[in-house]
Amino acid sequence: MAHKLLEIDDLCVDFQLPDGDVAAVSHVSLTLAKGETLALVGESGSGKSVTSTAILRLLPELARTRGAIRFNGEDLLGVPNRRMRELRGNRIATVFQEPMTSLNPLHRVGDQIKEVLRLHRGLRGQAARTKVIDLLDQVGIPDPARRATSYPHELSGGQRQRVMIAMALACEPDLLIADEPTTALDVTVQAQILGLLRELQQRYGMAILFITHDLGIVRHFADRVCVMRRGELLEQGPTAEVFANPHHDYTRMLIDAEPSGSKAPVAESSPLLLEAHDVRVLFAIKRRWFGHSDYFEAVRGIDVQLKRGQTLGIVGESGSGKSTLGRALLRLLESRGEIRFDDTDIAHLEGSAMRPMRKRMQVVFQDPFGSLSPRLTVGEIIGEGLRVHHPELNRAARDRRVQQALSEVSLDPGMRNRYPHEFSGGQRQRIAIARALVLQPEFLLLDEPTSALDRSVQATVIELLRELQRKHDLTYLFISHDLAVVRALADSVLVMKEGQVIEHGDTQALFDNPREPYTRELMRAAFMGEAA
Amino acid sequence: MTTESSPYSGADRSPGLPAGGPNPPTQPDPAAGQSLGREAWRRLKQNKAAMVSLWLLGAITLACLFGPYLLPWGLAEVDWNAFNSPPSLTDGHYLGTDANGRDLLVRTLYGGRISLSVALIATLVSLVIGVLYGAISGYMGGRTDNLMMRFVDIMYSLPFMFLVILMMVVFGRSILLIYAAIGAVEWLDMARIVRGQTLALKRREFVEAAHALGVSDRKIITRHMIPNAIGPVIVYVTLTVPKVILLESFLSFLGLGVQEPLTSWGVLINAGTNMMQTAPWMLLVPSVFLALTLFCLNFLGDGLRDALDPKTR
Repeated sequence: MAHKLLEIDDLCVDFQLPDGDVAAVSHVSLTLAKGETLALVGESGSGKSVTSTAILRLLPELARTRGAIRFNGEDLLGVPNRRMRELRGNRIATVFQEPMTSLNPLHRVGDQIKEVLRLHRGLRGQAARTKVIDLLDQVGIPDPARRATSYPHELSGGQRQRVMIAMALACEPDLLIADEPTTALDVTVQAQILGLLRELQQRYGMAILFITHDLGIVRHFADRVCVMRRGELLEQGPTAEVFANPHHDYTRMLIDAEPSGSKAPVAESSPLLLEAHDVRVLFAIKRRWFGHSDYFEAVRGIDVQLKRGQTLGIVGESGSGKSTLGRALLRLLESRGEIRFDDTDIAHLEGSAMRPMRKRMQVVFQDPFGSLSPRLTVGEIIGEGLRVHHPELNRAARDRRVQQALSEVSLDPGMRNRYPHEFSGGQRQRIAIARALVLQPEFLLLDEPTSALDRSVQATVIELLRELQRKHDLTYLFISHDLAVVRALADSVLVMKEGQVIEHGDTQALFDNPREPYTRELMRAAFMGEAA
Repeated sequence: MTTESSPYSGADRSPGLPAGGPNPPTQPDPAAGQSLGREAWRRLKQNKAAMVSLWLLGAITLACLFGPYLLPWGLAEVDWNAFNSPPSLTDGHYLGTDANGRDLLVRTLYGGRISLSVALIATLVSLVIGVLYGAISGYMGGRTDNLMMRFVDIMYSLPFMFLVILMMVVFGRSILLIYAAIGAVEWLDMARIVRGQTLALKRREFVEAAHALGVSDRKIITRHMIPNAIGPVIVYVTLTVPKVILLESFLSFLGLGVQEPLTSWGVLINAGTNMMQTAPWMLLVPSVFLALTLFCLNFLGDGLRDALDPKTR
């Protein structure tokens, strides 16, 4: 490939923080040819997004950039701001991760695309309108003329991302920077968006710099791949080569981080621990002071049976009601129907009568940033349940229990006086697990406990959960959209869609031989990386 | 100062900054158990502006409390030799006298007692009632929230002056009345702000986790809601204090507040404005005291907000 569209030569980015410089990117060199797809892969903090932001010169003030970024031979680090504005959105376009926040909620999507056309192409009036509809049509939005007058909140996540792509395509850029464009989307939508990007790339011959943490996508999508860690470029090469023969241990670890193994079945005689019948959850959409309120039924009559020591996986896309079901079973949400826990009817226990049961059923949430109160120390967070359920413990005894719980999740008990923000995502998730474990529960609701974590960290958390289950004979309800994780952890699986059970069966049987078309579609989208 | 001033969710993942970067901070001794209070005090001490402000505020308060006893003039004592006299070191009126020949420094210090105590009490009232009311309303939600907030609306819609005059008719004139009247309206804004914070906070997973642990509603409000809403509350308090001081002077101007010969900063500034052309010191002296106090409160407020946030170090 003779003509290089983008050449990054020895790029270094330092952030000048009050307590010293932090190197976010050090000595990265890479090239991208016309029409090529290059994937920049790495876990959080690897500097992949900083690299792409540096290309657009959109880094915050405190960043110092050295090296060279040549785009069509022009060094972007040297050109004046005015020239940079001409390039952004015009020759170099971007699609971000979060389609909700990257569109202005107060403007119609058509107008937002028009703005790009007006800025860079000088198109106005009817000409702009026609072009907008044409673009929306190209990215596969049904009824584009009507959709152009919609507001962002009226579109689904996938459609919003399509609008973002339409906006990026408006000026037929030479380079499209896609920063985790499918991470926030459901797997089936993700597959569609990737297909669309590929199709558009062929049509326009643009180069794509694809930033992601998901190796499954890379294998399927990219021509070449660059692996980054802690700001350094570890390895680059053609995708097939890197996957077949990774040179660096870290790359190999990333490729192997896919969870493996399966759950050993529990004894046939194991008693039933959790049993729910015809659970329904209603959300009020519009509450009225008088008369009937309008309701939305998020969970529509679901039965659950879980034996002691078992793990039930619940999978489904966003909005399927899987988290709502989990919360209803723990009585965190009002629901209808029967819920029995160890032969106690808990569906109708009120307030203080429910409290003794809470000790036996605990929960770990998805977001390791949101699930720990930032104003309490880790020790206080873990000890809180003990204050409620074991008021007889004095301070020293409570502290001992907290330390035990911390060492059980392989954290240093000496860190109990620190605050949550001082810990990494994986460590915080361990803290959340410790908070649940300190009460010695029998049942744990795991609501996407690994989804916000990097692959390598995810593997260790899964290992921890497995070990704890074996040791304490715990019963898990594991909610996830990640089929690979569920396959490795669950005895049986419940596939949910729109508040209903689509399919239910033993993990092995269900994964080997899915009956319903929806399940099959989910699996095809989730495991496309492996199939390739 | 670090740029990470906002204590809310977004600050965790500010774009562009290396997420996994400099995580382990400078914790001198991780094993030593330090309470949030002592930690906050340590962090506050590192903030120079806040510490200087704290000392200055202390000095102003002490001066208002004890200063008048050290000066040779009384609050209403008229010096027949010095009407409208400018500041001078020779005649004992260090900061001049007013049109009636009363010593301005003494009057300003006496006025400070009223202004500072009004500010302190009204702010405390608004803080206690407003924070509790807002937190309960926001956390309970639904119909409770609706009823509690409609009551706030009704209070808002009552004309303030009408309320004060009504109270005056019922209870008679007294300085306590000013405290009560101002406190009664100031907590409304605070309740609104805290309610908004609480609404956002109660959707966070740590609140749900506390719920799952069986923590009672009362504990959730006091342990999880209020501490996490403290940032905007402190900022708002620093805005409330000047508002209250000016509100008091407004009441006094209408003849509903403190009465001659008693005075307050607001009253003095008001009187000084009339004499601005001929006797500028009469405006400047109380204004400088007021401005200094407000500056100090703002710096101290910022310092406190940062010190109480475990994320700043």
